[in-house]
Amino acid sequence: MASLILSPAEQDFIIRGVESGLRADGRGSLDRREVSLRTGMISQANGSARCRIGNLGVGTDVLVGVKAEVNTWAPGEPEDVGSVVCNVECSPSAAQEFEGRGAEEINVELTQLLDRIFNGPQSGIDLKKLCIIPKQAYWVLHIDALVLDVKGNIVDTLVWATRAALLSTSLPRVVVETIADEMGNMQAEFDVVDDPEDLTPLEGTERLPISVTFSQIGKRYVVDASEQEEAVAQARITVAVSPAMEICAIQKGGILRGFPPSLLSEILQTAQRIAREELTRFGTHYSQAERQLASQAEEPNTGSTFLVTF
Amino acid sequence: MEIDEQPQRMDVAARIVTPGTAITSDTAFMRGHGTFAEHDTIYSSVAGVVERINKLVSVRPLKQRYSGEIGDIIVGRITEVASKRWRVDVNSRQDGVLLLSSINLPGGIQRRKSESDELQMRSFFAEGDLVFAEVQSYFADGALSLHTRSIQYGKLRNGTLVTAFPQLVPRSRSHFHILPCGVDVVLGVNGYIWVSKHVPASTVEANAELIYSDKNESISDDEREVIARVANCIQLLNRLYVKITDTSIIFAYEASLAHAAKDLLTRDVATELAHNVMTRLEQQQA
Amino acid sequence: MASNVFDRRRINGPQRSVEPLYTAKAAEPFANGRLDGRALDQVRPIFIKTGPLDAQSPSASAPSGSAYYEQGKIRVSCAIYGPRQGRQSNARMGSFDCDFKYAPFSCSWRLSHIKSSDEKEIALMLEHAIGPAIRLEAYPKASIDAFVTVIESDGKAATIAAAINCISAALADAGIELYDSVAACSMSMYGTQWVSDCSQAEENASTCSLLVSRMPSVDEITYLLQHGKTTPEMTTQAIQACSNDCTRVYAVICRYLQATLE
Repeated sequence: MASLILSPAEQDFIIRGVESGLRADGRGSLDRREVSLRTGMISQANGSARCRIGNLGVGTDVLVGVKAEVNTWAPGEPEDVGSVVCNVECSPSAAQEFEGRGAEEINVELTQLLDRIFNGPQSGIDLKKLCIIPKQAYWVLHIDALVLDVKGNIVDTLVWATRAALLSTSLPRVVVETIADEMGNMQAEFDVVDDPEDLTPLEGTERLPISVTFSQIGKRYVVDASEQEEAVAQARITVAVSPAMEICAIQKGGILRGFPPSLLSEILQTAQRIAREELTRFGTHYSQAERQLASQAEEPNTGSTFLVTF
Repeated sequence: MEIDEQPQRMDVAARIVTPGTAITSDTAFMRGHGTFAEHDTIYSSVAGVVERINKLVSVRPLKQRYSGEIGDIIVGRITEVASKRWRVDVNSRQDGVLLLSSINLPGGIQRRKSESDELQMRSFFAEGDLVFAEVQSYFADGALSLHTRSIQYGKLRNGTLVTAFPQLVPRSRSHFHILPCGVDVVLGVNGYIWVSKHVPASTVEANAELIYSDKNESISDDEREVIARVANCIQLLNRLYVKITDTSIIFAYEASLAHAAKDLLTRDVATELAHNVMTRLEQQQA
Repeated sequence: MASNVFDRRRINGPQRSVEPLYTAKAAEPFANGRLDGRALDQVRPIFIKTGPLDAQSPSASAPSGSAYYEQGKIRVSCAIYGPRQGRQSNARMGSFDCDFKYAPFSCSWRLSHIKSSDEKEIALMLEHAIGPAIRLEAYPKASIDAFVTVIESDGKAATIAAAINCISAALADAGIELYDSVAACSMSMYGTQWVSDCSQAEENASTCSLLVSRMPSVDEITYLLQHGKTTPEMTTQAIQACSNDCTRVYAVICRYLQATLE
């Protein structure tokens, strides 16, 4: 997505490599890079996570924070559900072209992609449970993502980080009472319990999907493309798969080429297989992150997101 | 670095300073890079280490952009094709310049430049191409002037680029190395390093018209694997802040043979390899 | 919902406005077959007119090609400008940009005149869908711009498909070199059944929607978008069925282009 200019010789080297199944960094077409995952570093957010996909501590880096707010119902909105609002921003620290309005297009594309995967019944989150009082008040989950560094494959890093942030999100408990007002009508009122220990985790997060992005290079495709490979790729397709192996979203990107239908069906098959492996890998990393968070609970909380070893 | 005897003078020994620290008030010293003078006192303008050579006092910052010197061998990427010259990204403060009069023209070095050459500049180098060049001189504004007037310089092919910190590539006699594993490595002093399949010099000289070709030779799977391995080793050395020379690359390569090429960049394998390489380098020093 | 934007340059409507409440209940979309009597796999009738926006006399500022497209109640218009001088003077290939806008009266709720992120995303989708069809290497240093306006919309996925078809017709009208025309079609899932080309009411009742755009002669799928959750088998089945619909739409587009030439 971020533009990098390569010489025709370099491009040819990458394309031939991918077609032989041996990428420039020695990986096979379906091999993914190392992942670092940390959760709970933003104390002000209801849930947060930071994910980096890359080698040796350098890679695509995304920070996601989830904040829950109570919204008043307005006529015309659905009556008994909460909502999810996504927002993705690419920071200029990631690449020079993200300065000023340069990141506008890519922000929009990533925001809508995240929205397509996580907002709605396909995400698994039970929006009905987010309703506090029908026709009166509901929770809004603001998912804000900040892309800190780009070294290829922003989409999968973004989805990993959002998934981890949602898994670690807990909402304050709400107490709903019905009391009679002056005219004797029953009115419902709610009160948010202001106790930082009294939290309920978000429901339905075990059904959250994970994404696999395929980039088409030459006649073949690769998963988890590096920056150089993305500069050569002619098209890409992102498939979001839920733990129940259902396809939650598909989005194609890339202006130069389309996909032959045979390649497309092969990609859909491979997506399921890789999604299964990725979900297992995610589970391992997430439990590790939780353990690290728990072990740090005794240390004084400096609240700094970036000093934590990562 | 000796400490001056006279008690009034400030200490000019090697020490770490921050911007605005006074270094010395002795008027005998001249100020160099990384300093500024107010009245009679020399202050540091960057955060770094004080260096003193005879009467010259300068401060070397920890992180510095590559600044070229005449005779440096570098690898650069063409960013713009202008009238009778190319602008080249050399990982420095300014883009370098490669003049049309500084390149080898196909058909023999003695061929005179014609008008059609100026119009056909993209047939030599176009935007995005990588060039292997030497710094010839400076322009008035400090931009480097490059030349590729020798047969081993020119357009780079058959391989991949690795970016490293410029301070890790020491200046040495030769920057073009043929590694025993069958891979050519060009160590640009500006931090751009090119790893490619070995092409015998005789092939290059025989086909003079091909020096500006964009076509790669055919590269077998084994050769590709070796190139990937060497590229990963260089990235490893870069990340662990080890000086990148042909020796350190060979040490890293030999230590890496125990692992698959793609695993070299994972945390565990990388730490083990770094340890190996450091030990061997120390042994070699001793 | 009305926009909350207060713009001094225009006469603003009220801060809040809501759709009126209709006492008559709208008919259920799939109660007795489809509301407009189509079969489940039938695409709405298409009408295309190219060249409606061309100036009567040649002018430098007129669009080089244009098309007006109707599919059922969907109405889309597209103007093509270019090839003209591009921004980057050293590009080996031309650039292609799309601009997409809903007219404020086009949907069942009023839209603001300021471009929403939805419209920006759809513009990107159109670029990705049409880009592969254009021979950009034939236009170095040039840029081709497509401006799409939706006059009336009926079903979000169907409107995007209509926009893709409209741009294809307009590009052919402008004489831009293409590998093939791009035809697009959409489907929505109702229960376990895929239904082609759904209207807004049908889309609201569905659980999943799929958009496919295709170049039939080259047999390449240039754009694929699934919104909602299904099983992999349903997805594969839908892609197949939708591709067939695209081929039918393609035949219609070609027929109209040929008729114009005669």
